[in-house]
Amino acid sequence: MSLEVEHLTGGYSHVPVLKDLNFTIPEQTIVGLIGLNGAGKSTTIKHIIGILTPQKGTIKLNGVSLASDPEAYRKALAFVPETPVLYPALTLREHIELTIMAYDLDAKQAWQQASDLLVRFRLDKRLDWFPANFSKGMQQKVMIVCAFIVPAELYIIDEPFTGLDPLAIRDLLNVIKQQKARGAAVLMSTHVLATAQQYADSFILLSEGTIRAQGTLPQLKQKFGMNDANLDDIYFKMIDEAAQ
Amino acid sequence: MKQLWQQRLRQHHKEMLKYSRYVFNEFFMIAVFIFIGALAYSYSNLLDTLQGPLWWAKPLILVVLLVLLSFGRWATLLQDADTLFLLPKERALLAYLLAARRYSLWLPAAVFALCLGALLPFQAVATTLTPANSLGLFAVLLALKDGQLWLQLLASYTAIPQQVNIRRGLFYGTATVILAVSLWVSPWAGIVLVAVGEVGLRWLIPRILATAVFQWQFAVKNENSRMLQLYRLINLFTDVPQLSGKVHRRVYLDPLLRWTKGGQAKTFSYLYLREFLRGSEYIGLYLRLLVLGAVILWFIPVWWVAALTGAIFLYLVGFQLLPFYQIFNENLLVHLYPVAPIQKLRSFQHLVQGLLLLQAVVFAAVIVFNHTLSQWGLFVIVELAAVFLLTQVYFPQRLRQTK
Repeated sequence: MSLEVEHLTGGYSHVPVLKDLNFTIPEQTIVGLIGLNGAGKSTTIKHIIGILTPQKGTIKLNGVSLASDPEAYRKALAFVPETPVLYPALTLREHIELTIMAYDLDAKQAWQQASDLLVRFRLDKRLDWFPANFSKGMQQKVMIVCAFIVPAELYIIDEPFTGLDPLAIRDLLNVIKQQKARGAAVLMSTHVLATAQQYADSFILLSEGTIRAQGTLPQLKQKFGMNDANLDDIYFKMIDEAAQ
Repeated sequence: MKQLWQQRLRQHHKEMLKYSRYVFNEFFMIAVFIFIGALAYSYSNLLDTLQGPLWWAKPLILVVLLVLLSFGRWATLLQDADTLFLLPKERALLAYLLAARRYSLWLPAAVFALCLGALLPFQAVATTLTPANSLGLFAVLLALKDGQLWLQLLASYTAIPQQVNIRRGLFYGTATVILAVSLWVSPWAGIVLVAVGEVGLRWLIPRILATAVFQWQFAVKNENSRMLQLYRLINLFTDVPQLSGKVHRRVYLDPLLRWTKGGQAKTFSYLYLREFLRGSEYIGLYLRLLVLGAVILWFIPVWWVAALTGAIFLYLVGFQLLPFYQIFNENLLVHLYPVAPIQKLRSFQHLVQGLLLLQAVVFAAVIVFNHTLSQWGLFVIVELAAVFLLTQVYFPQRLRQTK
């Protein structure tokens, strides 16, 4: 069992945005977190990465909660934010060095992994540049490299496909698949349903802070009674139902 | 468009007024008056030793005039967003640019008048030039500046980056000839020459502009670099927000960064030191107060007053650095690192301690010249005690209250 979320209620103020979420992400699975803008995807992610504290419920990663062992919890988790977060005063090389220090990684091994990723994302010639001056897509790639040199149990990727070129999307999906094969769990929130349908093992459909449905595509088809449907159809049906 | 110019100019004046309060503060003004007084005194002493006429006087004046001519650029006050929002108004923009050009003449005119005035005593001693000559020179200089500003305006329509230096060379070549004629032949000959040039330019400009396209990127880039120079000047006295976010690689400081290599415990040291050395705001603050403190200490003859002043400066610097502790709070990733929070406090403590110790060393180096060895020893002990109390006791206590 990698990530277990039980009865999670939470949000920014006393008015909860999320209402009683229950889900698990087992190891070696890719889960797509799907929902409209404002459905609570980012809030869910913020609770899991630990920058928001649940009002009710528990979040456990490998049986450890943030409160019981913050360092073990944080070490088991790597995050690629939707908007790149970079240090203006650090070069790309220093971003990687810093990640190695902060996560206490084996420098040699991590650099091997890093150079592999840097070549794959065509950043290997820019190690001594300031990524803060890169284009949005390239900054996104820097975030991906920094996240995936950490051998985490759970990778959380917020909107991975916006701003990336098609080649980078393909490479990212390959990296995700590799990590899955290694045994990691992956949670990614996205609006690109076709890609999600193709690569994710199961889905969590969020609407107004509650889970409307979750499961594999066949399970969702059954639940909504749409046998020939793809993820788009099911998603629109869910929204229409919610509107009524 | 004229209105837009007026509005921009008002904004600009307001901003400059705001900064001038910091630049021309009382201490600085006192220093400037003393400096001007000293300068005038040594100038008049120098004149007493001269016996005219001197062969090098006119060439020297020519060089001074050329340097003066380089002062002041075409201030367009254009902004980045203009390249998008004003695009449809390209033809009407000319009125704006002309107003900007006219405005840009005022400051150079004032500087020319002041400097030519300051040259009067020298030329009376060293040359045969009369004050009437200076009036003529002023007219020539101003007309040349006028022509230069026209050429800068023209350049923003017909800019070819490779030609910028050639054009500048041509202009200064012509200006040298005209100024030389005004100095050695007669200012009237200079005025005639410059008038011919002006007439030619004014005839040429409407014909070129009729078919030219305004080079937005070029013009905005020039204006930005002009403002940057201005901000850099102001930044010597106070913080300029336009500069504070700027990061410089400063490769020459890299040897200092070796101290932050190491394991997880040094994560925040790694961050803090790089941010400090490559940023502008805090390192600027530190250096300003360091220099100010050192200068003040130089003038304090009593050792214990110096020690107390030094300690106060250590406190001031340290206190001003405290907000630097929170500099990474906005960065989401910092909150995700599996690094114990106490490490952040320790790293910051090390940084401040290092900076204050360096400051104490500089102060001690200043004091050593005008005190006895035992006074110097006592001074050092007081400074070290201050550093210890501030960084080990007082600051950590304050920082624990914040996040």
